[in-house]
Amino acid sequence: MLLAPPDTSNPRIKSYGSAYKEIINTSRKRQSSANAVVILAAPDVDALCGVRILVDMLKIDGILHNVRVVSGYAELENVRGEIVEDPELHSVVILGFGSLLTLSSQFALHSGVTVHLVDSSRPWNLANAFGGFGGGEYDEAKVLVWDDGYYNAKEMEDLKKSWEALEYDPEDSEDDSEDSEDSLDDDSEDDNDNGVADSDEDANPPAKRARLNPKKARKKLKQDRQVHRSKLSKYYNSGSSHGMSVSCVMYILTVELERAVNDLVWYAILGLTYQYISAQISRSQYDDRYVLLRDEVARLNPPTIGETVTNPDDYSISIKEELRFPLLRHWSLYDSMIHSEYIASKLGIWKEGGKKRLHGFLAEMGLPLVQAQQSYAHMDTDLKRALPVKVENTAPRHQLVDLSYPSFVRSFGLRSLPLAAADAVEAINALLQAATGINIYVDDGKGGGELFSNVRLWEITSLFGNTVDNKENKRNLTFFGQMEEGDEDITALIKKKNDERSWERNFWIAYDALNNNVSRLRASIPLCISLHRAVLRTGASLIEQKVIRNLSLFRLAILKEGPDLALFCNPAPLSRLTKWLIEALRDRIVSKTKGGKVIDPRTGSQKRLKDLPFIVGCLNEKTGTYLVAGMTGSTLFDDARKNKLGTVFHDAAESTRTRSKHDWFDTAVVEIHGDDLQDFIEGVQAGLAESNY
Amino acid sequence: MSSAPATHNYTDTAHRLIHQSKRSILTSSLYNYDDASIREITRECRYLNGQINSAIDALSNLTEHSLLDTDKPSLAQLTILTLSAQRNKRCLLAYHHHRLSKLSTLYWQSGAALAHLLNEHNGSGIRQLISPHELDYLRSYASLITQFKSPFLDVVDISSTSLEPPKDLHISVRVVRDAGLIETHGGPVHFKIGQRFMVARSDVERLLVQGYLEEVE
Repeated sequence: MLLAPPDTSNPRIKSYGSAYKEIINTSRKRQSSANAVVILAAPDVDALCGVRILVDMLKIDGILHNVRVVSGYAELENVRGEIVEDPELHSVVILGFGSLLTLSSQFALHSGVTVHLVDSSRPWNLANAFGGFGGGEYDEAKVLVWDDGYYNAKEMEDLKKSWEALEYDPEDSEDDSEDSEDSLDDDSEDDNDNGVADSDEDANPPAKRARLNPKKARKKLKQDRQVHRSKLSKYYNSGSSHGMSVSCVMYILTVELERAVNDLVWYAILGLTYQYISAQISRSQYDDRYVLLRDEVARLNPPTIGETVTNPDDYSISIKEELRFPLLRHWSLYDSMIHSEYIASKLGIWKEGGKKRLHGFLAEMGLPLVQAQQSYAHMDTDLKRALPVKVENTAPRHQLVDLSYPSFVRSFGLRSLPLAAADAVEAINALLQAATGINIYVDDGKGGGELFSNVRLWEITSLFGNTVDNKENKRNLTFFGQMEEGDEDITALIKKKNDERSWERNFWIAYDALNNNVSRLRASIPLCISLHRAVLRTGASLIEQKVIRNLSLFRLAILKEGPDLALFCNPAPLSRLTKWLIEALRDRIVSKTKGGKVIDPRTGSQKRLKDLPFIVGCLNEKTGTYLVAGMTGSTLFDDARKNKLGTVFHDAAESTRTRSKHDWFDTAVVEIHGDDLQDFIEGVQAGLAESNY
Repeated sequence: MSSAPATHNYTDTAHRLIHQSKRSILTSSLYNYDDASIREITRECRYLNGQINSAIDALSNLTEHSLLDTDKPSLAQLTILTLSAQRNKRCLLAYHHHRLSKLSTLYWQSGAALAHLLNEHNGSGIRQLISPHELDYLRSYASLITQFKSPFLDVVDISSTSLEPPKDLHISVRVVRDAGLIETHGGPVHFKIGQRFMVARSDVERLLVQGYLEEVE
């Protein structure tokens, strides 16, 4: 069932608040255990912020609950098996994944259970949105989809009609189901029972007309079905995109419950900023929601009157134009600019010429190189203050427009310098991706150059409060007789054991870092910087070594060597690299096209070429497999395209019978057996050609 | 004096025990009961006793006057022997006092759960670390406490770790060690390592104390 966002003009419509109250009420009616309310969260920044908001709400209401991190479909199966066992279970809240799952049947739970689905990725599985009333022949769970109201009511109504026509039609559903795709048809029979009541509401119940004039009606019916089907497949195959972030949806809930506070709006800001800087949403989408959050921030942070004295407990959020330089306040201006995707793409920073252009840019702004390479905290205050103005005045001359975007900055009293939303997102993201499980070297030397650098292996310190795990793991292993106390490999095994579930540890480390104790976030900044460096290093070397192949339908880069292989074997960093490559090469390829070197073989048009999808593969040396990620580039900076590669990858793996693994919620990431890579790529090519990209 | 190595003085072993206690306090950990050293010290005390007796025998023949004049060395020796014996005794007492208070503290820290303390505290329990007498002490201490607290157990459990009123009814916990299926007021909960729950404080008080769960803010 689709749940509309709260509408102040019509408060009687069921909305987030009523869904939340349903959880609360059910919980209070039965005296339930912590297993009764289960929150399933995907390990990304947005879901993390969403979890924090929801958990805060549940805490206030004193509702016992249990949060589970779900990394992929295999893990989801495990978790499902575990939670289903409990007869107490009455509410499952899914945050940040699952929009494509047929929750009512695939995720079969007994009928007393309500599944709440909050996910930013689109399209929805329409069976969740329009069906999912619970009960039925198979005793299914009730599904509530928290919609953001992005599609207007009419479009949704249209889709609903089509879906219902196909879903609840009792006749010849098996005749022509072979050419349709998606999981939709697999369970079309399941819902027939409760569908009867619904199809009666339609203006022209198809069954009734069929009786009047069987032959004609059947033909009409078939045509209708064709129309409906194409409508649905258009909806599903338009590619994956992102709607409102999970944390924003959760924040709207808190507003509706009148419990919004600064902390919660900060989480919502982080979720939104994450979507923006990872190019999930376009600038215009960002602006829409930014305005909402800006009003909230203004409401919760009344301007101080009189002189502004730094208050030691000042945790306010302020509205600020942010430069597009990552981690600027924690790095040097020069490094920050080099590692900015935007600057990299505009100036071609990986080449000597690009560096020269950057130096020119800095010189034109009147910034001495010495100052720029100084760590930002030690830069001259005058220069710092004048920087935004200088950038704004100088940048257009270098074709650098839009170097800043509206964002937020949060103060942390006397604990830390104010932290920009984008920097906080970077820090949390770094913790999520690499807090444990990956060997990564970080540099503590605060801009001291080669001589004073202090390179060390990143490890989670006692600051993060997670140090007991090693000891505990050891105890667990010895306790369960898996190994003897004196075993030589014990440390290796513990490490392996830790790495296996590192995403779960990382999630909680990041979760804990997100409280008011900003020191954890600050401690993770070196890790962030290392990740940035790895992306730039690898991306630049891919471009320099001309590994990237420009094919007619997509661009392909296969990463087989280099110091960062282990890092890019993980979906999130690989997607990040892909995004960097898209950003970096966007302008390059366009200018090439103008030179007439690359021309689309089919149409010859330049426009088609510009937003070619980018596919990056990375060799996993341990398993001999390739992790392949794809992303659809967009022609403009600040724009997001629907990513169609998910379905293409899936189909390609099917048709070429590749030994592959689609375990990640991001459908456009797939693991391919080393020998099958070539076949798979060919399959993708065929798939793209077919879908008439 | 004859049997000990040249560098060995009286009460050295006893000092070792004191250092051990000190280390134990600083690292707040319980060491093995040092049976060997205890035996060595008692042996030393017996030897000292013999020496003292023989010295007294030799001296008792003399009159008081001549004692001061003639045999000052023997007198000094007697003093030293006595002091050493007394020091040994004090060290032994201090060591055992430290042990017992440490054991009592551990007992209270583990929420008055004797079986848990003996078998599972910090992984392997403390049974291997204590002497039979200490075990007896712990047992009778525990039975005394139980006897004392049972009449008013329905009002307050003095053996729960903190007697401060809790701020919340519910707490968020992190599972640091597999605790298996735990029966709570609302129903059974399976605590698996790495997961987080929000649970009623009263349900998990014991698990918190015993180190299966950890509170998170």
